[in-house]
Amino acid sequence: MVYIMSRVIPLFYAEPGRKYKVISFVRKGFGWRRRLEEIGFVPGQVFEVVFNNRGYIVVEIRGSRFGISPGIARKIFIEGVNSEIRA
Amino acid sequence: MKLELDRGKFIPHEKDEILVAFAGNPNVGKSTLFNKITGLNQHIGNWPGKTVEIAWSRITYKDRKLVIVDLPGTYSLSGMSEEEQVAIDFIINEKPDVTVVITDASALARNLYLLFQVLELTSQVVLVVNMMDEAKKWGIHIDLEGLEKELGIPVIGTVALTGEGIRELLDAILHVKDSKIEARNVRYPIIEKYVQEISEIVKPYIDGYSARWIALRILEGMTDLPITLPQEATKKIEKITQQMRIEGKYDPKLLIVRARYDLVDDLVLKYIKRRKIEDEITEKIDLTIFKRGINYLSVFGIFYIIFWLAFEVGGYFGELIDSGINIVIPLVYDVLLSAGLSDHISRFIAEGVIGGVGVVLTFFPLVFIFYLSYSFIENLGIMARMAFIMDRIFSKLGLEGKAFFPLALSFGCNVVGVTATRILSSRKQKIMSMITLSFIPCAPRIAVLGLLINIVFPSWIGPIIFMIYILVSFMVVAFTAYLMNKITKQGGSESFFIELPPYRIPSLKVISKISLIRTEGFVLRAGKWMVLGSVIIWILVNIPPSASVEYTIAGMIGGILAIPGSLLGLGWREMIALLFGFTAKELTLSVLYTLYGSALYNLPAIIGFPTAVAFMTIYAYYTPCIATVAAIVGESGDKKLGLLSIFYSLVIALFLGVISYLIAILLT
Repeated sequence: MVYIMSRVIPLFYAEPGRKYKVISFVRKGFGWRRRLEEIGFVPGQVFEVVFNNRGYIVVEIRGSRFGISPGIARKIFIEGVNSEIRA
Repeated sequence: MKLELDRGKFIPHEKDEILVAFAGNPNVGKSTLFNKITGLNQHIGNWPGKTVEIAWSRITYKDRKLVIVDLPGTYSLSGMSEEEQVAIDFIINEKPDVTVVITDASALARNLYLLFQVLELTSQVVLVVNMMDEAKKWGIHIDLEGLEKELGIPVIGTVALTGEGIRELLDAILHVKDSKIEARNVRYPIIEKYVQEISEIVKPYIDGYSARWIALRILEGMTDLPITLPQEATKKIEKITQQMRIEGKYDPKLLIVRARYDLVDDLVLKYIKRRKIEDEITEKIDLTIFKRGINYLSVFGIFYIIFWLAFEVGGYFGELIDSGINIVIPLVYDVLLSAGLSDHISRFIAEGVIGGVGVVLTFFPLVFIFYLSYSFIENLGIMARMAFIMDRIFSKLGLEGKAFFPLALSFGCNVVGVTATRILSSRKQKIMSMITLSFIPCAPRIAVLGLLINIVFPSWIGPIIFMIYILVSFMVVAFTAYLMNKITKQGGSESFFIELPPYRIPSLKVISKISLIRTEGFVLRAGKWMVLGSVIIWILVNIPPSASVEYTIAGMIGGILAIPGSLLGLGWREMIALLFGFTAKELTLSVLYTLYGSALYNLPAIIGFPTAVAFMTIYAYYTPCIATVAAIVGESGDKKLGLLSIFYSLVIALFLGVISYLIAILLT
């Protein structure tokens, strides 16, 4: 029997050096959510996690690097993707 | 969005002048390009009702007069921040003839988002793809002609640092103005149907605005429209958005963002070829700098360099200027005297006015070197990382990470700290930092405090007492920040994310130009208040003329203040010393010495140990010096804030003074 586990995790737990896809956000928070969307964090967008020590999280999305606060990183849900897809 | 502004009034310009707006994301080299084109001849003004600064400049090119306006750097035009609102207001109200959207060639996949938002507002647009040289270095090829054909607007590749492409850009601006070039209409996939439906509904009420833009704003969930719609129209619109939610599966707001990005992706796919070469330096630094142990160490290391440059190197030049002023003052006095002015008037002008100008001038090198080293590190790409590192601590106070710099600089001088708040991103951040940093003891205050501790306490406990005073000042900073967050009801920091630009070697020419303009701003804004402060102080201290300290106006005020002061045992000598400390923190000690003579070293025996402790505590936390208050008023443009800073710190100082008095009584 094969169990297919859901691999959707908060960005906070992402592995550095891997590529992920934005899945969703927690519902609350119009302000930060809107701002994130406008720098490219829209569902389906692929990005790379450059650094993550659970204190500082650095991602590369649409050709630019962003440092994401850990609080916000807990509210962004992502899923790992095949590393051949371009960020 | 409020439209209080008269159209076309913010920057008055002649009919034959071409109004050009520069828009763009942060970190795309927009200001570098602006500086390269306009040179030093710039004006900086605050947008009415906002603290956002806008720089503009007049230039002549091919016998045409251009007014170029550098809008604040924004990621989008949704009006979520003051900067975004100002950028929208400007494009709507001032109706620039040409809007130039500046992008970074290596980050078009994100930067082009703003282009589409600008195209919603106006179609007279030029697209600049900046830093073409870097893109080439990283193996990115951009088909500018293809983009131009697809978008229907001129697309110019530039290298702002070297000035490459600037002529072409200016030509393109004239071309758009003269031939009334209009961008091809942008149609968004998926949502287009709804946009058109809403446009039809709002059309009768648009009052000169673009119906399409209004429709998009409604879909984006913006309630603060510049027009009013009748109820039937809003009801119809509500029905449409309801339908969107059902059919589109997502929120209309998100659908619009996605629609814009879909167009961006389309362009990127068609016109940008990349075989990405890794930026190894950025890679290596970014993988190390955030590691535990290295993070704070690197912040303090860099801060140390800035601090050293500002206060040691800048301080050296400041002292040179100061001694120059000290030579000039008696000369001016002599000249005025021989010109037939009375002794008092001559002294007033020489010491009060020229002396005040001297104070401003001595700050000039400190402020300039701070801005210079700050701009260097910022343009290098390091500052964004420092801000990100410090954000973790400062967000707990409701401050952004960058606030570390003004606060830490205040250990050298509060005036420099206040001036440094200009690097912060919002008015709230600036005001919070200005009020809190005045509790950080500056170098002169620390020196006097150290001496007083030596007089009042036995030497073995001195360092501990000193540490307690510094610790309490941190606690007051934290408490004040907490209080201000409570009052403004905006807890938490505003930076959820910080862009970390690639490491780049800055152009010294550009950063020194920017720093010079910023320093000039400091002199113009805070300068007049500092001179005024110096004049007032001169009057308080020198009238009636040639009286000894206790009989001057200041002395009399000290005498009056001694009445409530006596509750803590404080006499007129202490009150006068504190009053003089308001002019400059180091004066408290010299006034005490003047009034007590060598008996000062027996201060606790004369006024009692608890009173001496209370005096020290009040001195450590009461009002910042008048130059700091002047800088607060100048930088914030709000006189009330200066008064608030004085009174709030007095209340805190008195409160802590009483507490320390009581503790001292208990201990003896």
